[in-house]
Amino acid sequence: MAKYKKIESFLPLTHTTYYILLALISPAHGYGIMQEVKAITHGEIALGPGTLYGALSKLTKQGLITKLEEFATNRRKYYTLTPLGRQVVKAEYERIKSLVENSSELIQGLEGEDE
Amino acid sequence: MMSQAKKVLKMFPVWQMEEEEQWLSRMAQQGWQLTGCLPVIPVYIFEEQKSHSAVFKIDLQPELRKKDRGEYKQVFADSGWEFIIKRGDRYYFQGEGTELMSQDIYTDKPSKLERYKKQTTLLSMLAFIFCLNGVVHFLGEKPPFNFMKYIDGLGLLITLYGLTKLKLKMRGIARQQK
Repeated sequence: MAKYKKIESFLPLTHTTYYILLALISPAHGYGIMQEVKAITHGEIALGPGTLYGALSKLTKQGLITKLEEFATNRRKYYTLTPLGRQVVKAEYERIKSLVENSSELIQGLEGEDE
Repeated sequence: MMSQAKKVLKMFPVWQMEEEEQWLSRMAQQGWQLTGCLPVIPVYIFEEQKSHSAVFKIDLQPELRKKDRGEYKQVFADSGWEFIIKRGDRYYFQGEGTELMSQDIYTDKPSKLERYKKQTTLLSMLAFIFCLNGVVHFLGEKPPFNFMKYIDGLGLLITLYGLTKLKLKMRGIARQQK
């Protein structure tokens, strides 16, 4: 297990990382993650295999996700969030949410100007 | 009838991966399908097939462990990329069909940059070795080896050229929208 690291030190997450973590709230393998991310983003993000595999090994090393060896079906390996991963994805959600909430009034004013 | 095979000696430095990928696609178009390679020396083995359009992608994976290779190839296969050969740290994949033609195996900016960082690390190590050798050869000059420092110098120059090329590519990616 990775050494103890502050949750905030992982933030902000990249788009890709955030969506992959969301897709892993319930266990999934690489192909499942690709489809889930496509579904969450309404087809906007199609993960390339290089990007996906790189993210999976990096997140495993960081201790945010873990490989479920017992669920392996042939060469497809299942992953899921670790407790730390759950905290990080929640913290990122809160971060983005407060950004949006704090700025929404000001942005609405800006939109009125553009009309 | 046995299909014909041919071996081609061709060297692509690490900063010319895209050129290597495009060359393999052109070979497929001309009816030569990549099927293998020789160890250590840069020799590609092609087999004669019907001319077809295919895209090739080369992925550099210096840290991929043997036990993870199956899973790694499966992730690519699930996206439609067929594993062809492994040459050193490089994995060669082939894709066919119009959908894959426009797609890349790296789809976001951070991972695209990461890809070039790996190549930069390799080249930097090489440059460091040339530097170190240069110093050693310069100090300990003995008759049969006194030309060695020029080879080190040339090696350093080439690696620095490659590093500059990679740096420019990375800057290009950093400026892209996505």
